[in-house]
Amino acid sequence: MIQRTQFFKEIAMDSKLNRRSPFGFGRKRLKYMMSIEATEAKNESDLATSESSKSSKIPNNGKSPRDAEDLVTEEHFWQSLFKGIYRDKKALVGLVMVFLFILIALLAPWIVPHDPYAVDMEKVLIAPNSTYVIGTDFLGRDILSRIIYGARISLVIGLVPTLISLAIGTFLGMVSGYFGGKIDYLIMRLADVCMAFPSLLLAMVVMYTLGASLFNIFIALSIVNWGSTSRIVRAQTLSIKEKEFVEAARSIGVGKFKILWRHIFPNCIPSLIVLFTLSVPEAIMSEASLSFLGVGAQPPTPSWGLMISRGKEFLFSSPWVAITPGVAIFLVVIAFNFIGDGLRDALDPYTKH
Amino acid sequence: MNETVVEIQNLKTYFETEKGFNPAVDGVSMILESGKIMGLVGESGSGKSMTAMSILGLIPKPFGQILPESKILFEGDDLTKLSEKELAKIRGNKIAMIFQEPMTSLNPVYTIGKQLMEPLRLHKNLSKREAKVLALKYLEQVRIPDAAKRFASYPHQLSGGLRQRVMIAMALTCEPKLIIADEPTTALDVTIQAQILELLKDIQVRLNTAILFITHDLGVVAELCDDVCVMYAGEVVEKCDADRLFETPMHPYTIGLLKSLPKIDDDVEELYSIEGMVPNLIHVPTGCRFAPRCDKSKRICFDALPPRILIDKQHEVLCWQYDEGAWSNE
Amino acid sequence: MSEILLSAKNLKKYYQVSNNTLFSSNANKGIVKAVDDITLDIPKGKTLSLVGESGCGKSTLGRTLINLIDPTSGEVLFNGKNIHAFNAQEEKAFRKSVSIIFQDPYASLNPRMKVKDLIGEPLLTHGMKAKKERYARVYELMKITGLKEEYANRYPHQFSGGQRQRIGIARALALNPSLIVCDEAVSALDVSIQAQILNLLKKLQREFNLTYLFISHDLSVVRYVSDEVYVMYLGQIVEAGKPKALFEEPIHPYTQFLISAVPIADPKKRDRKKLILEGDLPSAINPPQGCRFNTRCPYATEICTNVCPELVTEDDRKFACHHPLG
Repeated sequence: MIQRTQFFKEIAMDSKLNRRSPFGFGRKRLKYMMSIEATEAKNESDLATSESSKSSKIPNNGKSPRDAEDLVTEEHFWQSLFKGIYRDKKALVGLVMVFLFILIALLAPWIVPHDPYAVDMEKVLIAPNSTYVIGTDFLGRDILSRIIYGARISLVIGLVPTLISLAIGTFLGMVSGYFGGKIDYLIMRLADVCMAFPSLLLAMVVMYTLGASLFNIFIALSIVNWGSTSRIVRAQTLSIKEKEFVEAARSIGVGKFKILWRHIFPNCIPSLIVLFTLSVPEAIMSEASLSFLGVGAQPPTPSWGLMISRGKEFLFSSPWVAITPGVAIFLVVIAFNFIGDGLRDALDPYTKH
Repeated sequence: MNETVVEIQNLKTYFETEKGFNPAVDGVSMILESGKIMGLVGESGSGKSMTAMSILGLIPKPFGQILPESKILFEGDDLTKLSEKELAKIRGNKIAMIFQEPMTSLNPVYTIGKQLMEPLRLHKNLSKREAKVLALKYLEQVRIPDAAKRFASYPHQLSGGLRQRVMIAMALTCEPKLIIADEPTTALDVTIQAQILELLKDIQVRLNTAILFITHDLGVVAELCDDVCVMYAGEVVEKCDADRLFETPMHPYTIGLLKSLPKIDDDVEELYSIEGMVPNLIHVPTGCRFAPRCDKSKRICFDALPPRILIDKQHEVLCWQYDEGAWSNE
Repeated sequence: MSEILLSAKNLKKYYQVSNNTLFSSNANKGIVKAVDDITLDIPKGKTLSLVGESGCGKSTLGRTLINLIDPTSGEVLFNGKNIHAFNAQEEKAFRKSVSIIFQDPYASLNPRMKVKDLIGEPLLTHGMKAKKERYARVYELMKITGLKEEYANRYPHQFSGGQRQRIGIARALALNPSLIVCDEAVSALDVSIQAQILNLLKKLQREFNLTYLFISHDLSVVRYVSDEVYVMYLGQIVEAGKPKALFEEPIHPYTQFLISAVPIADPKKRDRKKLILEGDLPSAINPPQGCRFNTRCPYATEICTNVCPELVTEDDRKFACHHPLG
């Protein structure tokens, strides 16, 4: 009931803001409201069975509709998430593309037509043909094979530093939000410092200090991106910690870190998932940029950014060398963004169908 | 003089959900008369708010549908058949609505004066000065102290009670034939609620409008309403005037509700409680919707829809008990 | 005189608020006296109610009494011992013996936990690590509160308000507490469900000899459940007494107005003399001088605006008023 009145309020508020009339209910929202009502009614009927001492009086004509209904469990978070993606064509396309990307990265050694490292100076800059589907580069290496191997690097770069920075950001954000006071101040100023620099610039500074290598990209990207995560998680923690269930946990004497782990963290997961899917392409882009600028992966690593960087000299004579890895980056990034958008919509009650 | 303002005939509003049709409002009929307050009382999920929204044509069309046999007659028109454009002219003009939480219906970035003047200037083509004079008059009519000062306040600067008064003033600006009040005092404290109820009563006497008052609080109904419809699971199960309802309730649901109310003016040893909960409307029980929770139910209640029985020409009740033939045959 | 379980002495909780706007910071600092010098005793096995309008500080008082909020000053004694001087072990024991049921059954249950884990959480926190033993107790609690066993694996959003409140009650009961704070525990429920929950609470009190601190704005409910009622206004207790006496012959004018404002479900009483309080609750920031109620009180005289009346005890009633009624 509360929830519903809440929605009523929000609906009324929104419509007022938009149209200055309390009568402009959005369809989707109303539908959502109705679905809540339906859920409520359904659950109430559940109890009706449990509590009605008269269930014996109900004529049982073969099947009892209520029993059947007891089995219908309301969809939970994951279900609604997958359902949301399934219904969203764009997100579905993204999901398929990401799946293909991962599959290619995993199976790279078995599916490449040529050795990506094999230099053949006699076959330099060959235009796409039947043997070299998208041609060769200035050292006569097969570009397709290099792009396939490059997928591995992009996958690892996309996942590992993102997960690390997400973990750091989540932990610091939760601690900051929950404990408040000086700890909060300290962590947030640190985050401010991190966020004050353009992330690419900061990553470059880290890379210059540590030296250019793939491993150092991990470190650089992990350090650079935790700031925004911690901000978001902190904001979430601040709102969740005011919820009554946290107070309820406190009232029975649950410890502070247990509250963080058991009550606050699970309620941050939805936004973390969205954040994750949107951070992965960012990390891939950063790696490509760093490698393009020469402070990331070093030759002969088949990194997409590096390949563009090396190919740009031949952009007019042999455009396939630089453009094809660019297309690969574009496709992967957009696929992840599709999923991210889809997830965000799926988890947002307002845009829910 | 009480004349019919709105006549609702067999209103059915169904919602399409993933699991089937939800008959949120299922065959509601009532007559709203000028100068009378009709109380629509029921628990959450009983369809009372949806009835109000059907009158205003606010049911979202593809999911919610008012079935074609429904009729809502207002000034010779059937509101269910009007176009969106025609409805917009009636809403907030001839039929006004007051919501539970006034804060959300007021725009936080404009002063209440500006918000009051807008409909006046829009519908009545008044100049700014004329509109202000009139708006102040309405603010005084809802007994806002220091109306001239409040005129320049923003909604958040007012207390809940004052905001609700402003909402009522806004509803009055267009001199509506019908005011629909959806739980207008639920969010307020009792002392403030008493003020607002007093005000509504005063307005109804002075302006002779019809008021449809939606609430879950039987106490408020007893204080304010002339007639009452008790809703349960989308149906009106009992309809009569307020005095009669509280003196001789007939439907087992009404009887149960009245018995389960704690009383402020009497000591009660043990409250009666209706077991179970409101049924899921998507799987409507075949017979009477209240039968599974009713302590008088017999087999017939589960098997067939109960008849609508009119007692003493003024007391309508939806229950098998009062169909003497069928009841004694069981 | 029955045994006292919990008592508060001169309890105060002040909040400092600074009214910061974008361009003027600290323009007017104020102090909200949410709980202002409250002394009360909760007898064992009884229901003591705190009643008042929103913003009167009743919820803050309830939470301060069980040490969920630190008081500004004053002390709370539980079984005669000061709860603010507890060591870790005593604190843990105290947490076991008090629990709280919240108003909003939608907000007070973690949406990502299953029912059995929600009810089992207090048990787990207090050392019942073995799953089998814990779930056995959970099922027992579910049975006591009228929940079906097969609900154990569901999530809170799959329940209606009434069922959720039952889950909340089961949770509160898990550790065999002696005191349960019911903070508007039935305010969000429909009438017929409210009666079910009230009766359940009463039944549990008889069975387990529970003490309730019942916080509510609904006077009818308070009359039904209470053994003793405290009426609060702007952080202070204005009147206290047994429900029958208090509701039928209020001494403090505020109580009188409050009772008179409650709608009665009987049209025949419609024309009774109703007292309607003018104006709104004054802001809790810098409340009125003298008697807090003087700005709205029809009987107020000069002394009321200057001197804050003491809470005096007469027989088994208490009141704080310069011009008591009757």
